Amino acid sequence: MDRDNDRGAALYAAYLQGDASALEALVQLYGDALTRFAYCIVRDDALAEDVTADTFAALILRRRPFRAEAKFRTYLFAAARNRAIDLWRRRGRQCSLTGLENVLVGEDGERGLFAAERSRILYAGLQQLPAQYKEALYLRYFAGFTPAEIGRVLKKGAKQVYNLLTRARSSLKQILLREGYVYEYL
Amino acid sequence: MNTSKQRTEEIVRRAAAQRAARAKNSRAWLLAVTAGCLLLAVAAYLILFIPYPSALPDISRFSGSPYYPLMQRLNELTYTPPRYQNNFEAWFSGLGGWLDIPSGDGAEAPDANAPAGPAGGGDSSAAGPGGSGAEGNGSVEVTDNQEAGVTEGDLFKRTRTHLFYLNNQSAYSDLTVLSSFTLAAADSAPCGRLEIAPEADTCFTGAAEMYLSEDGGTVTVFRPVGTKSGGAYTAVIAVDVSDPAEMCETGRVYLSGSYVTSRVVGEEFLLVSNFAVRRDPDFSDESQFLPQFGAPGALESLPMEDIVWSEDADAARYTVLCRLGEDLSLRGCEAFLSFSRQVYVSQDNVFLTRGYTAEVQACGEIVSGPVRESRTEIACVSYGGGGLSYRGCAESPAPSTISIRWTRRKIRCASSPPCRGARLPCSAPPPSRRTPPCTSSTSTASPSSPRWKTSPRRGRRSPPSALKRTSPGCAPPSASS
Repeated sequence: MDRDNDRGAALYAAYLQGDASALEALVQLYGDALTRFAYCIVRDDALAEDVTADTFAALILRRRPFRAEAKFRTYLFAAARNRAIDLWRRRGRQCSLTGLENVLVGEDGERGLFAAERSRILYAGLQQLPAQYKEALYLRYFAGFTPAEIGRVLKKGAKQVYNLLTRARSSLKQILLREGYVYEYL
Repeated sequence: MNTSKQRTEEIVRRAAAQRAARAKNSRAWLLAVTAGCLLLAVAAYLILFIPYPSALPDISRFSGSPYYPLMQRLNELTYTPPRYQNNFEAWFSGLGGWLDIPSGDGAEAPDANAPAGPAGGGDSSAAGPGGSGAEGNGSVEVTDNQEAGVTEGDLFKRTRTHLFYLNNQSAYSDLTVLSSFTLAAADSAPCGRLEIAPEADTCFTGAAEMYLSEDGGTVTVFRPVGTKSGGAYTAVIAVDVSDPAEMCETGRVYLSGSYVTSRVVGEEFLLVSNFAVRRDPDFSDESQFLPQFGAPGALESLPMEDIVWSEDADAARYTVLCRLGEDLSLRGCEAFLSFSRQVYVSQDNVFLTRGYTAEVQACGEIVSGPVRESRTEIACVSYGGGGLSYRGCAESPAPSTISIRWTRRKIRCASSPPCRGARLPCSAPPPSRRTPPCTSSTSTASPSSPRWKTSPRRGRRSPPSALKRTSPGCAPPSASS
């Protein structure tokens, strides 16, 4: 993931230098992950795509290089989260999940399926958790964020993130057990 | 799900739209800020630099008043323009001296209380009719220090049997105490005491004087009075002292203006006061700009024909001269606008002066052309024949007159400072108001000189619309005055 972060920062720097193809590479690198992350909040695939597009558009308009110690990926997911929350509040905080299968498929169609069926099952089960549990689990197990990075995205301390992850795993386990999945999936 | 390319295109489109929206908002914001700054600047300009109103107050609603011409002149004299022209000068004129904003000249407030002026000069050739002699129980001592026969007021009056004393001390500022004492050498003792109090909302101010009637039965007190609203009056109070042990007040009248001086004329009184019109008076209240006389609560304004004034009057104050009977009834009254407080009382006449400047044509070798010359106008009021009779006025080419003597039908004026500069007579005849050049410090006006002038519209029988003003071409006073 650090390699991705470094690659993302390099692609963004290249885009700022005038390389238009770097933007497409950035979108390919983070697009699906951002959409799935945003889906955890907005519960609608179209809205999740909007969040992703708006997040990248804001990145283009920002046009300021990142500092060496800043994390490109952290900024991206934090910005996406803020937009998703705004959108979710404006759209009336809908509770039903819409377009989950589109999110799971990704941009590459069948080739973009989650590599393991277990991931699909876990992601689908994730959607039944409260929002903060979903965000924390997704960032930890699907996006590969460290607890510190999760804390920066969710604006929480390390201890809070640890407690959040513990509770989230426990809740997910209960859901999966209830749906008949065996313990080894967890 | 869109492909990366589709997503990228969408992202670029949205970024362009957001950029355009930002630019539009930025322009709108800039416009709003500019408009706001402009509005603030205009508001600040209006607040700071809108000039204060400096026009004369409009008194046209009084145009139907017989005093209207006088009111117009008083309006000009008493109007006080604002000290500053706008708020900027008013708020910032004192900032460290680096803003050198001269303050406007405000009109000087007329003196509300004029000091008692000297009364000098007069005809020394005749004895006055003032109280004298030791007949009956009347006054045995006459105070006539300034002019023989012209009795002046005093704090002590004495008959053969009693002494009357008027207590004038500041400790009694709300009271005037008239005390009587028996005169019996070593057995002299206090006899009676009367406390004379001011009317409600007034107080006594300044020094008082009194007169004792020839029969010793009446003391008349002249006392300056001030009111809460800042007005100044002269109270004339009659006290029955026929029984010195049981003195009592029998009458009281008021005259507008601070007390200047008084004299006894036979059994009547001459009273002179100085009435200053207050700054920016309310012309709907006659007491603020017209001299008034009468009993407390029943003051009446002098009629227009009894007011002498001129278009070139430069001071909003009257010298009021009135004649009172022993019963405090008004026998005659004249008010002179812009005349000085100095009054010269002779045996039969009262002379009042007014300084002004007139433009004359100088034809000297050094100075030629129009110059402004200081002049003194002398008005003469005769009281010898009963009542008061305005006789006319004369001009003296002197800045100020300090003494007048009426001798052999001539008025001799001593002035200060003396006339300066030698002026050659001009080839063209001077206008009627101008006087011949003077070459000495003492100017003499004889009845036959062309400088005497009379007002053709004096006297109480003149029509109400006639303006009582000084005008050239006076007839000289009669020999009997």
